[in-house]
Amino acid sequence: MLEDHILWWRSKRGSRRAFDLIYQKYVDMMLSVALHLLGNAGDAEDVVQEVFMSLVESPETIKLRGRLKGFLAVCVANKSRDLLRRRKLTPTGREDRVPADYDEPLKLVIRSEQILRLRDALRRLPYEQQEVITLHIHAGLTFRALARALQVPLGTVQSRYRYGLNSLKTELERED
Amino acid sequence: MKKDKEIEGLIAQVQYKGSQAIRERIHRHFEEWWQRHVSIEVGTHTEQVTIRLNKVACAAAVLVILGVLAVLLHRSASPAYALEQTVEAVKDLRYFHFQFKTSPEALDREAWIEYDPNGSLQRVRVDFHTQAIRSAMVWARGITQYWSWDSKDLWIFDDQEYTDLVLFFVRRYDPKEAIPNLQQRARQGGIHIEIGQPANEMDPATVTATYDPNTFLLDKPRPAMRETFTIDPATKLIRRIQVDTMMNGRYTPAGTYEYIDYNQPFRADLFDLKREAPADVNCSDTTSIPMGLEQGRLSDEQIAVQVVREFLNAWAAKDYDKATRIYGYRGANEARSIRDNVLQKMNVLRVLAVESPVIPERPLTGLRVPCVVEYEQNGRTGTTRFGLRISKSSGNRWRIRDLQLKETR
Repeated sequence: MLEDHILWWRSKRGSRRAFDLIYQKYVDMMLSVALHLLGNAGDAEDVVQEVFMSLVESPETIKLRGRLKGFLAVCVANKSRDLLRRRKLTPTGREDRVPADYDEPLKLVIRSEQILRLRDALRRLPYEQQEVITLHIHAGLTFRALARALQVPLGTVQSRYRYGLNSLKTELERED
Repeated sequence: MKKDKEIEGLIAQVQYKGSQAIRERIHRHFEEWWQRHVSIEVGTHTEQVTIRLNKVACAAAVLVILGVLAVLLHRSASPAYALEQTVEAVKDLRYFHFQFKTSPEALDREAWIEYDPNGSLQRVRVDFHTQAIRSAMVWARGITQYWSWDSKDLWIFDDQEYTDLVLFFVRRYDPKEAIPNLQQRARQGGIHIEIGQPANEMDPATVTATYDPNTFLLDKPRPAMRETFTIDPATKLIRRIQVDTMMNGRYTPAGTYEYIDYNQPFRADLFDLKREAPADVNCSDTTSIPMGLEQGRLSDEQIAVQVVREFLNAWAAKDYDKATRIYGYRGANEARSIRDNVLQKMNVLRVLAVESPVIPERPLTGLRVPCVVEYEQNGRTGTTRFGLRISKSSGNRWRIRDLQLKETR
């Protein structure tokens, strides 16, 4: 955590090396969060690139509260939400995308089918629940940090998480 | 009802990773920005901290190496196991049978692999029952039979991409292929093999293959993972493979493979799902239906463009049967799905452009052909740009694999 703060402090002073280290350390986590929330590699790439470029172009305007990892994950989540909102107004929404592939029976041999089902169930959750679950489990944000970052009461974060988890449980039990 | 911890553990396993190409593109963008702007480096302690951390890491690595050497020296008097002993032990065997699980809570699955007397792979059967689906797959020299008990579907098809999946599975877990495959991968880099010598003759040896993160398997980057082979001390055959993947900094079980018996001939009808399936099964045999288009003398790029052009023309002409055949499918359900979910979803009016093919990002294979069509929806016309991926279907034929809408105006 201390190392992150030093990196952030340096990057705010225009250190390219510090940005490089932040990139190397967190690009995978950021892409993972974006892919979870958007379900599309092209959009995830755009969002992560946008977040990085906003950091690089105007770091002095950003005030880091809490951990850098959490901050970056929330930036990705916010940009993803913006993108999905914009999409609703245009014909290129998620629903316009044609399924990329069909069930490969043997892929089930290689990957756990339960995880595949869970992945699909996660995508069907309301965005707010997906966001809280993804940021808590994959980016390691506490509920308190999430409440602060998303600017909603702690109870709201906890209930979004609880409803999401319960829906997933029900979904898995039903399909069992 | 599943516990919260169990669900959270499963969610943690739903991993998405951006491809290397994506990471490189983001970094390139970032590099370009820096080249356009002068960066002011301010001296701080970060590099020094990093250097110090590196020194600590080096010291730790030296200690680990010394420890390993001490253990090896201590064991030098014990009988030594070498991978070649297992390769030799399976050399003339023809029948392999094993059970496996791809997650701790999954049901047991079973696989049978048969080689012909010349040592060539002849037939493979995998039963992969899950809590939701019961199904079996038989592959024999390029032709696949796939039977789903629950949907009462039996598909028989000839598809190169499916064959590649079967061969990938065989290379990793068939005892005849697994060790040579590991050795070959280790030579290419990204995999490190370590042999745990037995303390005495009665103990099994272990072979641990550690995969660097982002090692490509079947053209797909994987997280750091480890495969541990347990070798029978007497026969030198593989008894078990344990697969673990790195999750949140520690190895988590991702699969076990238990080798039940070696070289016990299989029952005669094991590889005939058509006979095994009940009479009321919906059998769809597409092996005699030519999918996609024949390559002939065209180059790969030319046939890819040709497939896309004919597919789009058939789509615009509402000749859905022809378009579905060019697209390619493995069973009647899939053909229906292409018609309902792809072709009938958009009213294509005309083809505006079919561009030059590009190589798609890994893990995808074949060629991606960008194209632009004019369409009509809810009384309004617009243009849309697709990326269609084309690859070999069977023999010398090429078909479409997927279609993605890129931009719509």
